[in-house]
Parts: sequence; structure tokens; C-alpha cells
Amino acid sequence: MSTGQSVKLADIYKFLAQAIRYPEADWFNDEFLAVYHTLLEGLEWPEGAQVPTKVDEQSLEDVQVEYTRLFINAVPHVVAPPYGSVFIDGSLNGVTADQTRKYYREHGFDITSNEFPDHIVTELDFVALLEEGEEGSSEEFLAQLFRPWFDQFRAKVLEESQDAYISTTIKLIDFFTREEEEGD
Amino acid sequence: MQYSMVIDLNKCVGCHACTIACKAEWDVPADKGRNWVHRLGPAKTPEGLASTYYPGLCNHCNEPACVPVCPADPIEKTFKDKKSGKTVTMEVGATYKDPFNGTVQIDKARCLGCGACADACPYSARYINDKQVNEETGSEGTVDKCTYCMPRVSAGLEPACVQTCLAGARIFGDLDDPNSEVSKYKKKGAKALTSKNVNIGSNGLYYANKRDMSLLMSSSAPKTMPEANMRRILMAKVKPGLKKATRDLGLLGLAGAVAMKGLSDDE
Amino acid sequence: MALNLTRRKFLQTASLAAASVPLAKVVTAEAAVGKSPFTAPGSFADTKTKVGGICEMCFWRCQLVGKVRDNKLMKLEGNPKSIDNGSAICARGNAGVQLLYDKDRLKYPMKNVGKRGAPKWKKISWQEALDECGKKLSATVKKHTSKAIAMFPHGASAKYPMHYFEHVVGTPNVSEASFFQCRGVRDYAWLSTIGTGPGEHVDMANAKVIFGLGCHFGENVHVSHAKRYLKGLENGAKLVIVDPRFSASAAKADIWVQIKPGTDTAFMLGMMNYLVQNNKYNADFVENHGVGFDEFKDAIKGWSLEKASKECDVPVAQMKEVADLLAANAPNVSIHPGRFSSWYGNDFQRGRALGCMAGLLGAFGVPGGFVKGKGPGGFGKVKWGHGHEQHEALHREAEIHHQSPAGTPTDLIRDCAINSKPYPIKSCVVWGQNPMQTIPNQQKTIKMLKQMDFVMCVDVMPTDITMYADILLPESSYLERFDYIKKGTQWDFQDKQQQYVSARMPMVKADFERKDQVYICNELAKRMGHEEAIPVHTIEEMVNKQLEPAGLSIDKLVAEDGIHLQPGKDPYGVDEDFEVQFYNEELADDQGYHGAPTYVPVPQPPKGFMRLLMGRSPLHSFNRTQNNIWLHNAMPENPVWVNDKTAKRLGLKDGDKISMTNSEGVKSGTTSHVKVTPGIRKDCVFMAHGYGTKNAAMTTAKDAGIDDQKMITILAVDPETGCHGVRNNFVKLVKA
Repeated sequence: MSTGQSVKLADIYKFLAQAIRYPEADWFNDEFLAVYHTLLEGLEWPEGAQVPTKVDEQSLEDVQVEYTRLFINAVPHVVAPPYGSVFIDGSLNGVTADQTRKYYREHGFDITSNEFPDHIVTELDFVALLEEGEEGSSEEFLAQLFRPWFDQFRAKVLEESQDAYISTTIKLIDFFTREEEEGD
Repeated sequence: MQYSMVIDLNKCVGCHACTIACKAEWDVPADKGRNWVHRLGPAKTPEGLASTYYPGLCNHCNEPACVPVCPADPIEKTFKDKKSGKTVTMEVGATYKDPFNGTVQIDKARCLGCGACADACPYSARYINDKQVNEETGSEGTVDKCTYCMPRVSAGLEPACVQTCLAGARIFGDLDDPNSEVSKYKKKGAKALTSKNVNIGSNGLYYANKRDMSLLMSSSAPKTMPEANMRRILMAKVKPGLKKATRDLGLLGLAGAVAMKGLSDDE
Repeated sequence: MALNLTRRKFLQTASLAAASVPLAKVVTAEAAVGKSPFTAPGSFADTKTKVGGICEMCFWRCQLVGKVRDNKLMKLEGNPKSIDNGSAICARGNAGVQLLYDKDRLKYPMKNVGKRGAPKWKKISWQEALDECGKKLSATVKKHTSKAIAMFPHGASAKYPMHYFEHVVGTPNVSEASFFQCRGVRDYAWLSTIGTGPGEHVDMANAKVIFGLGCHFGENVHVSHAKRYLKGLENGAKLVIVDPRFSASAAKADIWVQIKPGTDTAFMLGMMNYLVQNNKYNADFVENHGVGFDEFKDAIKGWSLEKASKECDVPVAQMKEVADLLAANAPNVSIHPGRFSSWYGNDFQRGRALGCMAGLLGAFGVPGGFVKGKGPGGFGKVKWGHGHEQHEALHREAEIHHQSPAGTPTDLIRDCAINSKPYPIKSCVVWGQNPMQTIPNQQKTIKMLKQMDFVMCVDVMPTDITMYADILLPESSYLERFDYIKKGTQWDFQDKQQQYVSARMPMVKADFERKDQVYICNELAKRMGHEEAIPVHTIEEMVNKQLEPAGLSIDKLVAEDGIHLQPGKDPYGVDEDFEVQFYNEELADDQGYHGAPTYVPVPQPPKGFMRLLMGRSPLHSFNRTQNNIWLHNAMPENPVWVNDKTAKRLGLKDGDKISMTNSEGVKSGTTSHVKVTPGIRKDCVFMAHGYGTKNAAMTTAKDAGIDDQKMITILAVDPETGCHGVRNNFVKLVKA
């Protein structure tokens, strides 16, 4: 592993955790999108072109509405609540949430927000903290507790999402959390 | 001591509270169950029209079919009787019958998840919990079933299903104690679900009027021991030196994916 | 993307370093996890026990404790101190955990930026949501007066806001629609017979005979009620169950009367006439407490056992056996009033007949008879003051629905709104009710909602009605809030007389941004200029104000493990002025109905069709629970009971997959399987209610089983009450 890399994986996870929060005007702005596009360019993702580079009131509302429909509530049915338990146990705050909380605690962390332990933002923040401590130390968590539900979640979001920003963000998270062959 | 569960079908109203309380108590996956309630009938019986329930669970049998088929490497385990302080040391697989309280238990840490015991049970009282991955053995699930709520009982509580039963239809106690409620029920005629070919000392007993008993027995008493079971019992009785080979064989025949993982781990 | 790029390679090659703004700079949120000392989670033994839970998976409301770890509710159990349900709770009660953590539950206030009926939700702040509600409701009042606001409340949490809108805002257009399809007809039938609603106040535990007309205890589960029933059986009570089907209770019965559907009143009249004609009734009781007995006797005299037998398809000998059994054990018999009673559109008369039968047997105020427990009193009331505006209710002006309850009937509000006659109704507040499913004719309801200037909903789940909201507010559930005061007595009146008091307390704090009704309603009141009228500031204060005059408080209840017990009073005996109206003059002379219980025949199935009977599964409360993952898995489909001989004729085998078509050509859409049994008559089929939703929101329950509601297209209106009988629908089974 090179130590001379210019960007830390931990920073990317933190960035992704931010990117998948509920979009609010105080951070979901032109500057944020500029950085977002830099990341996409680095990855040479052509579909990144569909993600807007500017935000106005209407486009903010559009992404908020889509975020709400996909992740919070919709009538008749919320599409893909971003919680491990929903996909593994069929409800919020299930056994998977307990196991995830247990994992945090065993690694010296605990939840500081109002969210459940298996929310996507919580898990990405945790992965960032692990990577900050020791590079590569998040692999076990990703494999055991994140990917099993995220794979189902990603498929559902990509099938249903009508917003390029949200779809692309999910693809980014997928790329940065996917299991990689050793030696790569 | 021999723990036993009697279910009084004259009282049972078939409400399913026992099955849901168990799920909550032990994090049983929604589509699986350590216990169940099957509605029977209305159907004609020689005693008249009948409709009742089959609230089932592990019977903690005297000669459990599940125990000898376990292919896990045996270890020596020492059991201690809380009351007398007596100890017994036995060689046990990953599932065993407790010599002091008579319950059949699973050592999850050593369970290979092969499902041999589940196949062997004529009452289908065991299932594979694929959420309980065992990293030690590399198994992709472990077997689970009713424990007669031993962790609760040890803490002085009733089994979860007994506590929540609004009808008082579930009676839990010691069959070796002639004054216990379960013994009284047995004397009154509470019966195990047995048949000509299946008679392995079930400690789960049912009490019912004639027509309900007739319906329960004809519909729910297993008629034959599971077939695969015989082969596995034979295999499991092979000399100790062949145990490992038996285990691999047993696994291969049962659950391909788990076996492949197990084998490659051994290489 | 570059095909072989891995994330580690990407880090080395990325041009991110060249970006003008570093990644870290745009990350503004606090991390959701942080360092903390490691603590091992415990087993079940390490949970904390929270007392004071009161169930609301159904409306029997058992007393609970919660096992809580890390503010997560692990399990619900009956409160061991309870003298009502004790440590027992039913399957639904146990499954409350799954409602609490249902993924579809509402989490944040939302604004509809799309259309009513085709909403686009946007998460907004409480401040913004409440401002919008206050502004819009005030505008309606200003433009049209307060009666232009309609309110549809339901459940314990809706009481406080209901009183606010009724009394302070001053709208008479408040309607609880649940009356018309459930117990209302029973309550008003008994009210006009014995002067009080009957509840299910029968002392079954101490009865010599328990008589149930369609009662299916076991399939219908209310814990302390079921305990009474089972105790009665244990004590040797004879059980008589009248049902076209060999129900859970019929299976335990000494006598099962396999009656022809719809003829129950004829059955009762035949037996009552037999008792009267043969002097087998309780003449003393009738003498002392009966009103209009001679008119009654005269009105039913044509009902010989033979005539009734023919009408009901029940042998004369069996009718005689039941009547004699009741008479021989009078007065210690439980004539069960039933609960859900909107059956055939002739239900008011059936309810009257049951009350009169209890009267003939003198089965009031005696062990085994109709006995109301004497519960604790002296509680305080939390009342909103009355505002300036008050208006007359629509039905009072129209002088209709004599036996219908106070409040405004839902359909009158709807018609008024749609036609703007006699006045416009322009804002709608829905609180815990789902009028899309509680009132027949959805198209009209949609029309009403679409013509509104403003619609707001408060709920725990995204029910169908919430699709029409402009603002949708998330409420805390029964496991996350204070409110309901549950009080009563021990269930077995032969035990030591005791009274209990408990108040609902939260098992866990409300997750996300869910709020309770007092907060929401007070914030609305402030924004509508009624701040000075607010009676309490928090929900805890409300509960404490109710408890205080009785010498209790939340803290005191907590210290007493959630339940306060005190000595009770002997519940037996009848007041001297207690009356049984065998013949009710007011009904006959003032309102134009029958004075004595009267049998009204119901339509019979057309050739090739069978009557659809529906009832309960012990796993479900109406449709409320059908998406609960534990309850669903315990019984994924509702089998359709078909008589074995009929099945043979139709070529159906047990377990065959079928769909349904009703006599009006409506198809079930979904399928279920048949249960072939000798335990049902040939002219009907039966299935449990609470299945077959087509709603995609119900990810667990969708398309599982058949929805009886969909098959019920003919509503038989009960003339006295306007209640909707749902069992006059006829179906054909189609092999799928």
C-alpha cells in the first residue's frame, strides 16, 4: 500500500456519508457539486455528466422530493429505507441494527446522532473513522455488515431512482465499498 | 429431572401468542419458528366433528433422533447439577441431551449448520437460522430450536410461551416430580405424539377431549422416522477414528455449499 | 468508468489533489458515530423493564411492560401486576414491536409539493409545517366561519385535538366513522332495551350456560374477556354456540346450532315465544323490571318452534334443548351481546332480541349474567374552554337517523362539502382515521377532499387518506407516548373485589421527529389565535391532571409498577329502577320502527352463489395488522372454508388455489386456498378479514390471501341505525 497517496480513503468515506444525507441548502450547493464532479472526473465516469453542477431552489426541491420518496416516506410505500435491518430483518431497528451497534462498540465507537446504527450515513461515517485509524481496517465491517444489505439497497435504488445525483451517489458508494481482490 | 411441556387443548384457543412471544424473545427470523400453531379441522373423527390446534415445539425426547446424527467432532463436556452439585462428564457433539434437566440443547459455537439433526427430527422441530453465521466453523447458519427457554428458566422466569399464554394452556415442569402439574396431567391422560414407528420418548404431552385428541393424533403424530435419518445414524456410529471422514461425507451429502467451504478450509 | 480501476488505485491516481476545494471542506455534518468506551451488550437479562405500557394493537388495551436495551424495545410482555390481562398478551400484542419499527412509519413532517392523490413529499421542519397548517386553517375560518372545517378523528390520540376543534374552533363537523361498520348497532339496540350500552359485560366466568350468537372466541381474542370465557368452561358452564360454521368456539361447545345465515332473530323469537308460552321465563324479574311485556308477548306469539325451525334450518328438538337449558340455568346465564354486529342489515332487531332474552331469563346483576364491574372513579377532566363560534350539526337540522349516535354522520359531512350545501366545507383535519376505508364510496370521499382548500393528516403510518394531505405530520405511536387512562376491575367477579388504574406511558422515546397530540394540537392552537384556551402544555401534564383528583400521578403509578390497585365493590345486584324494554314505545310510536324485536328476512344467494361470511383471525385487528411481518408469517393466507359436499360438487380439493367473483361481477383479483370441511353449511363460505391488500405499501401482505372488503359491494343498511351490514354478499369460487 502506497503511503504517498494524495487523498485518503477516510476522507472519501466521509464525503460519501455527507453526500447521502438529506440535501439541505446549507451544504448542497454549487461548491459541493464542484467537488463531487472532481471525484467523478477522476473516476472517468461519463454518466456523471447527468449530475447538475448548479443548484437552485427548484432543483434542490426536486432532489429533496426524490430523496424523501426513496428513503424517508412515500405513499403508498417508501422505496428503499437506507437501513440494514430493513433489508435483512424486514423492519427498522432489527437484529442487524443490534449487531451493527455491537460492532461499533467492540471497536471503541458509539452512535452520537439520533439515527439508528444501521443507517447508511452512520455506517459510512464509521467506515471513515476506521480508515482514519488504520487503512484497510474497514474491510471486515464492509464485508460482514455493510455489503450484505447495501447490495439489495443499491439494486432497489438504481431501479427506482429518478434523480441522477442520488443514483450516481449510490454508484460511488458501491464503488468505494465493493470487495476487492487481494493484490489489487 | 426431566423438563416437560404439557399443552391442554381444552384450554388452548389457538391464538398464536406463544409463537410470537418466542420470536420476540429469541430473535427468531420472521419466516421461521422455534414453535408453531397449526389449526386442525373442522374434520370428522370417530368421536365426532372436531377442530383443535397443534401447538408444537421441540419435545426434548428421551432418545432424541437429532443427537446421534450430529457430525461435529465430539468434545468432553462436564455438566453440573445446580441442586446437588453432582457432575457428569460426557462426550458430546454440537447437540446433546442434558443429563440433569433432560433438555436437548445446541452448542452453537460448534454447530456446523449441516442440518443433519433437523432432517432427523420426526417433529420437524429444528430449522437452520441463516442469520447466525458461525465464523469458527465457517458455517453459513446454525441450527436453532426450542430450548425450553433454559436461559429464562435459570433466571427464575417461565418460558416465554408459557408466560404469555392467556389460557394457561401451557404447563411446564418436571416429569420426574410426581407432584408437579405436568406429572398430574400425565396421570390424567396427557399423551405424546407417537405412533407405531415413532416412539422416542417425547416429553411434550397433549391433553384433550376424545374428539380433539383423535384429530390431533391422526393429523399430527409422525408416522415414520425420517428416512435419511437412518443412514446418518449409521454414519454417526462409525468408529471414532473415522469421525472426521464421516463429517465430511455427511456434509457433502447434506449441504454442498457449506461442505465446500469446510473442505477448502481444511486444505 | 475506467474498467480496471479499483478504489485503492484510484486514490493513487486521482486528480483530486488538484481540485481547488478539498473533499473535507464540503463535509459539514458531524459524524454520526464517534469514539466511546466499549460496553458489552447484555442478554435479555440485561434489559431494563419499562412499566406503564398500554397496548393498542386492538382496542381492548392490555397492560404491558417493555424490555428495553439501548432505547430499543426488545419485547413486550403483560404487566405481571395486572389484574386484567396479567402477564399474558395475545399474538398481536406481542407483535407490537414490529409496528414500532415498521419501515413505512412516518418519520418527519412532510409537505405535498405534488397533487392531492398523487403526492410528492418533501421533508420539512415542524416549524414550517405547523405555520402552514395554522395559516391555512385560520384562512378557512376567516372566509367561511368555523363550520367550514371538517375533522375525522380516531383512537386515543385524537381525543384532545377533537375537543379542540369541536369546542374552541367550534365546528360540529366532527365524525368518528368506525360506528357504522362495527359495534354501533349493538350498542344502540341494547341502549333501547336496557338503557345502557352492553360492552361485553357478561360474567362468563361464573355462568352455568354461555350462549353466543356468532361469537367466535379464540378467533376473536381480547385477553381478559377470553379468560372469563375459559374460566366459565373450566367451571363447567355449558356452552351454546349458534353459527353456520364450526368456529373455534363451536369446537368447544356442548351444543352447536348450525343456523342458516341471517335468521338469528327468528331463532331468538322462536325460543323466547316457547319460554313465554310454557311459562319457563323468569316471571318475577319480568314483573319487577320488564316494560311492555304484554305487547312483546303478543308480537312474538306467531313464532312457534316449528315456524322458527323452518326459517332457521335448525331442528325443533335442538331449539327446544337450548331454550330448556337456558331456562333451567336461569338466571345464571351469559347471553353474550356480541361485538362486531353489522351483519345483515337486520341487526338492530337481533340486538334487541338478545337483550330481551337476557330479560326473560332475569340474567342481570347475578353471577353469570350481565354484570358491569364497578371500576374506580374520581378522575379529572382536561377540557378545552368553549370558543365564540357554535353551530348546529347537519343531521339535527335534517331530523334523520334516530338511533344513530351524537356527532355528525360522515356521509352528511361529505355531501355538504361536495355540494357546498347548506354551506361550504373547505378545510379538513384527519387525525388517526382513514376515511378512504372507513366510509363506503371512495370516489365521493376523493371528491370531498379535492374540493378542499387545505387538508392535513396526522398519523403513524402512510394510510390511503394521507395521499390527499397537503401537510402530513408524524405522530408518536402508543409505545412512544403518554395518554390513555385504563381503569377497571379484576375480571373474575368471584375473586377479591379490586379496582385498577393505569395510564399509558412510553416504552421508548419517539424516534426521528415524531410528536404527540398535545404538542401538535397546542402548536396549532397558538397559530390559530387560541393560545389562551390551551388547557395543558404537555401530554404528561394532561395525564397528571386526570389522575390528580383520584390521588394519583404518573410518578406514583411508576412507583407502583405502572398499576395502582385499590379495594373494589361488589358488582352484583340490579337497581330497583332498572328496566328491560321488551316493547319500546319510543321506537314504535315516535320513530316508526318495530316496538318488539322483529325478524326481517334477508336476501338469499342467487343460484350458483354462496353467502360470504367473514370473521376474525386471532392474528389480525381488522386491516391494521396485515403488514406486520410476524403476524403475517404465522398465517400468510386466509383459507376459504367450503363445505365438503359442495367442494366435491365443484371439483375442489383441500388446498386448491381459488379466486372469487361476487354476484355483481366483482373479482377478488388475488387468490387464496380452500379449506374443505364438514364444519360449514353448504350455502355459505367463510374467510378471515384482514388479507389480500393490493396496496404496494404493504410489502409483506400485498396479494396474500383474499380481501373480503373488496367482495362486499352490497351494503345492507340497518334502518334504525344506518349501520352497514356486510354479509349480504354472494360469491362463486373460481379455481386459479
